[in-house]
Amino acid sequence: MADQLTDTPAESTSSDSEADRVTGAAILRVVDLEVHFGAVRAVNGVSFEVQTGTAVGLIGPNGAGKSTALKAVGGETRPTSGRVIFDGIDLAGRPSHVAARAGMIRTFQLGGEFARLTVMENLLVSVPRQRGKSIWGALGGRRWWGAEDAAEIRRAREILSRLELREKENDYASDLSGGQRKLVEIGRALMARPKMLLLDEPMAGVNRSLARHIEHALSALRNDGLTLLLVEHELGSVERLCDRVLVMAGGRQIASGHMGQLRSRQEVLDAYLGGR
Amino acid sequence: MNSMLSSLGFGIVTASILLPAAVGFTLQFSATGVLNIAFGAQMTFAAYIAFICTQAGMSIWLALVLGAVFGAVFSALLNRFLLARFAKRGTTFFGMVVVTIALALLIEYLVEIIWGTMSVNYQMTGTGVVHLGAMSFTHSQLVVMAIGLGIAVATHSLLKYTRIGKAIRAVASNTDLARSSGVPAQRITDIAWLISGLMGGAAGVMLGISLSSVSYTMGDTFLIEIIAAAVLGGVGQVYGAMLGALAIGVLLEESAIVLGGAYAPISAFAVLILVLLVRPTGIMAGAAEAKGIA
Amino acid sequence: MAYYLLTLAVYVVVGVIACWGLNLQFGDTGVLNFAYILFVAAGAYTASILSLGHPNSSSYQHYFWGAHMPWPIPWLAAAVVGGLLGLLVGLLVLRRLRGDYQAMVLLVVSIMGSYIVSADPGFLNGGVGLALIPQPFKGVLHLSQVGYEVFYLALALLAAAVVFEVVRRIHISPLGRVLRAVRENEAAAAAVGHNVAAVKLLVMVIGGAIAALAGAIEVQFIAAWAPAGWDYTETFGLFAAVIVGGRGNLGGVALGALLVQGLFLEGTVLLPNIGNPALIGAIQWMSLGALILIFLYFRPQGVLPERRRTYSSDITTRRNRMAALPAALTRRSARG
Repeated sequence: MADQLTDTPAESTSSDSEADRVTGAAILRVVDLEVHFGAVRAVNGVSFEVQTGTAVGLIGPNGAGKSTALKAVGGETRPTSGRVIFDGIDLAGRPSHVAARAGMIRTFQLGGEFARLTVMENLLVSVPRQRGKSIWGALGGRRWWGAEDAAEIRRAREILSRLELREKENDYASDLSGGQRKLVEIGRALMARPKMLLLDEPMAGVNRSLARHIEHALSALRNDGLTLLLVEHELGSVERLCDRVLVMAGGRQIASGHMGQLRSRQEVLDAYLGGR
Repeated sequence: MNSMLSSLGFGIVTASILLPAAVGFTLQFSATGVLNIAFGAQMTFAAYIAFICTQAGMSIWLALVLGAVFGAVFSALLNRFLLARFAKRGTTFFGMVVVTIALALLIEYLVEIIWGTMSVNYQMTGTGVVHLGAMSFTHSQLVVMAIGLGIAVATHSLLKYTRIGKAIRAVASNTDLARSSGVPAQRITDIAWLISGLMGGAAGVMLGISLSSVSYTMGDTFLIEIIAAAVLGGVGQVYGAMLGALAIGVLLEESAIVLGGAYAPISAFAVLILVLLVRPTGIMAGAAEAKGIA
Repeated sequence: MAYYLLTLAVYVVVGVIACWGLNLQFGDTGVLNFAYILFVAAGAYTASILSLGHPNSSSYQHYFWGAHMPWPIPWLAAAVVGGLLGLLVGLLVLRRLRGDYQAMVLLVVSIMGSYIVSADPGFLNGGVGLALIPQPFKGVLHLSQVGYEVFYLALALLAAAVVFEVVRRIHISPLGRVLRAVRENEAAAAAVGHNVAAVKLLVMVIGGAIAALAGAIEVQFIAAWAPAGWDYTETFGLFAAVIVGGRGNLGGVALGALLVQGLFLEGTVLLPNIGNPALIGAIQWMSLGALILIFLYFRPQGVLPERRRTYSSDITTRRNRMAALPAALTRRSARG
């Protein structure tokens, strides 16, 4: 259904079987990632891979360094050392717009929307390489960029319908509920034709039914072949959504595997109980 | 060489005035998050209040104390009745900057309307001169320096040893965290404005003493030097501001000797811009980041 | 009286142009350029020396270089210089500095600019400033004083029309959306692939060029230019106009310029003389401060708020601007 929305290669969408997805080539390789703030080692030597078309969860107690790791991967925080190889390019230390242009789009834990832009405008902002987005293109006038923009508006409407936000199109993002804003962010990320999404607690602080809605939307995207890396506290959603889970504590990666197996592992339980 | 040394003396005097001003400015900024462009105008207002006091026959030093107290009260009232209300309305950081600019216009031109555009002088008696090698200081300059040093020590002790100082540092490094761990952020904000007004008021009167005249644009002009000192030290960094004040004060006076008076401010700001290009968050920023997170 | 009103009209047109440039930076993109008046000044000086001719050593005024160029070269050159200055200042300030530093350093840059010009009398005639700047076609046209003013107003309006079309096209384009996205949330704009520093640099260049053009138009009208006329506080007069009129709304910004620049700052000359000029000046600036505060508190979005951009279902964008205007007037938005 969503092939036209995500522009992902057809081969990864052809199969839904988990094995197939896990054995795909790694689109993201993070090697020995370290993020220090002065003397504090927020991320302390984390390495992992994310295969094309899979969903990987990053979990752990508060202060484990999950969000910082995600920000370092996405370019918002500069890693102290380590490599972030996305789609063959080392992005470590490159600013976040470079990561985004390479196809890795990040969503925010809180307040990631453009508050005084309408929902439709929020989506249109992230369309890449649009004619009217350069200064000369803009000065060329509507005749130069209008048709292309109209096509993007149609695409945005399709995405909004899918996210059940179609009727909110002309509302300011600031007038939406917290969960709807997160959906707007997901829609905005899709407009950028991403290869991979970095999601920072996409379901946090959202009411139960909307959280389910977000989960289903993400699940559909994964099934369409989009690669996901998400930080999330709601372990039930993580279990349903993620092919593989990394557990972080104290800046380190302490375990990885399928959520079902991890639940019983002692070090994971210790990390959670110790962190609380 | 001698002129360099004697201007070093002037530099230290300027730095002694910049010090309370820059510390007050940056302390309030770090505790409240409001960039107060009206700070210079508040300084001027306090300097004129001290002028009224000397007119009424008080000694200049008593006038200085009263000027500083006025500065503190005025600053606290501004916060309570104006800035806090804007903050409550959700005015953004940049919105608040524009608010303080408007406030600066209001205060500066109110002062002009009350006291006119001509500068006034403090009545001071017994200004002997003390020689220290090539440097020479008037008695009042020595007192100004002592006050500057005293304020540096007092600020250090306040932040380091008192509960309120520790609370201010906590709020400055992370407002939300401090609030959730029981620090009364509202009261800290009030106190930060009070202290910054006190220091600004004192600096205003000290500037009047040092220049031996007070004019309505005085604080406004000085504000640029305060900002330079604060930015150089890393905005929000109290100790950085102290270093920045010393650096800017000495630099201004030295370059006046080397390049001529007209170019002095230019060279100081050129240095500021250069420093910022090399170290975009000020000279003390690295140390601060480590402390802020830990 | 006609002469006076025409003079005022030219001032208002200059103010409107300058405010559109500032709105591009502040209203659309959220860049707080506290050095804005410096760009106006740069344009004014450029136009001055390009029309004054070669500096004459026996003359009472000194400037480092000059030429005698016909209109519109001084105006166009002013815009180019303003754009280049925007590039220079932008590279210096925007690339590496945090937002709060940027605002402060820009303020310092503005004051430094006026110190530099005042300190060196051989550069641009120091604090005294340049005077007797030739006016375009004045010698050729042989018009009456009022006639020439009408002619000059037409020239200024022509420039205003060009600037309006430029800012309007940016405003409605996908680029305009990117500018507003940067204003709303820099981190999020970067996270969807926009180079925030480059976007800000762009508006520094274009806004700088527009400011400089406004300066050029002003200086060839009043025929004199000195540092006292571009004190950094003048920037706040322009900010006030944009805030009062409605940032992000081109019509609103023009209205604000008309109200604040025209009636408020210049129009008071029409009032009967109520005291010394310094007092009137002080009262003007105080009222300006009060006006900014009142608007930011009670109506932060300005008289004519930014319009909500909607797209009708048959894809062609709704273009009925006149119909949208009353709605913009009545709609009260929660935040500005």
